[in-house]
Amino acid sequence: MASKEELIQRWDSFLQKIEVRFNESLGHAEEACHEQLVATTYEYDTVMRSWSGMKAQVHVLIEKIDEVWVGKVAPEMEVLGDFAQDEGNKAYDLSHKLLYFLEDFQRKLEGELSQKFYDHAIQVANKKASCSQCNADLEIKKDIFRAQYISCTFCNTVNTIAPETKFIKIGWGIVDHIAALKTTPQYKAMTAAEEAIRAYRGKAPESFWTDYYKVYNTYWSAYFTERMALNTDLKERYDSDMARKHKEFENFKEIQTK
Amino acid sequence: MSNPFKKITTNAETSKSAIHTRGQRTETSTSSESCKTCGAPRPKKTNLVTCDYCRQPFMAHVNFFKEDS
Repeated sequence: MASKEELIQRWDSFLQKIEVRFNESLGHAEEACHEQLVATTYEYDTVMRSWSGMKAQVHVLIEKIDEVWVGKVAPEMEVLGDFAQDEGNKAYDLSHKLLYFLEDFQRKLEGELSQKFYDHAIQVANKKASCSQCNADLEIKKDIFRAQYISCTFCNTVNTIAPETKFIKIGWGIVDHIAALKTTPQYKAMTAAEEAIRAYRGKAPESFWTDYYKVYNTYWSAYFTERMALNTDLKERYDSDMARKHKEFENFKEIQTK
Repeated sequence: MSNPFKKITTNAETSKSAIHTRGQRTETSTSSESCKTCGAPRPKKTNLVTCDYCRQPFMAHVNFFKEDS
């Protein structure tokens, strides 16, 4: 029968291997997604379906920590003394660490893939478009992702320009992911402040809420501003978006402090 | 060493639904519309939702839409 020290060493080594495997898997996933985006001539949705499959496998790896703890390690340790609780915490800590890391990784991956897609699809706007009446050159707007209504400067005809589907797609989620990636520091500040509040389980001091609201506002304002810079149609929505976020904050505070 | 996720990427490519490619535009097109009732074109700097001459609708579900330039 293994001693306490041997069991702990074996358990630590198992957790270490899981973490190594987790990091390797994310490395492979990143490489595979970027390669597939180019290989499929920028089929973003296909790559995202692949990522879902990869993510499911990574989740299975994370779940293995609990599975092994409950099924094998805990029963063996409990026989040898009361140190199992501390060792069990290691399983909990690592699972949470990996889940948070996975969330950050996804945010970064989606942002980088979206930027790559954007750089490719925006080239559509550089292609020549001509007035349907007099054939004069028309300039496609690079920050409007729907049918565009452009007047010809020569004959005054209002042209309807229907861009390629890939170009339109930039306005559907792609700009959101790019904005999310660009505002990562503000996002991290916001989630850290939120975590600090959650740690108090509804009893956080008011100053924590003031600090949280400040970084919350900073993040959402930066995020919506980044989106607007890429898609001018979103300018009209800025005030209502911020009002919605303010309401969500109030609801969250009410739930947490009730 | 080949990427262990290769099988997943291959599956995603081979099992994609036709819904992703249906109706896809691979070319940018340009057109100009004229009113189906009176034949008038859409004048510059007007509300593009209705014909500026006979008020027949060009678009549904919106009240006002201006040109992008």
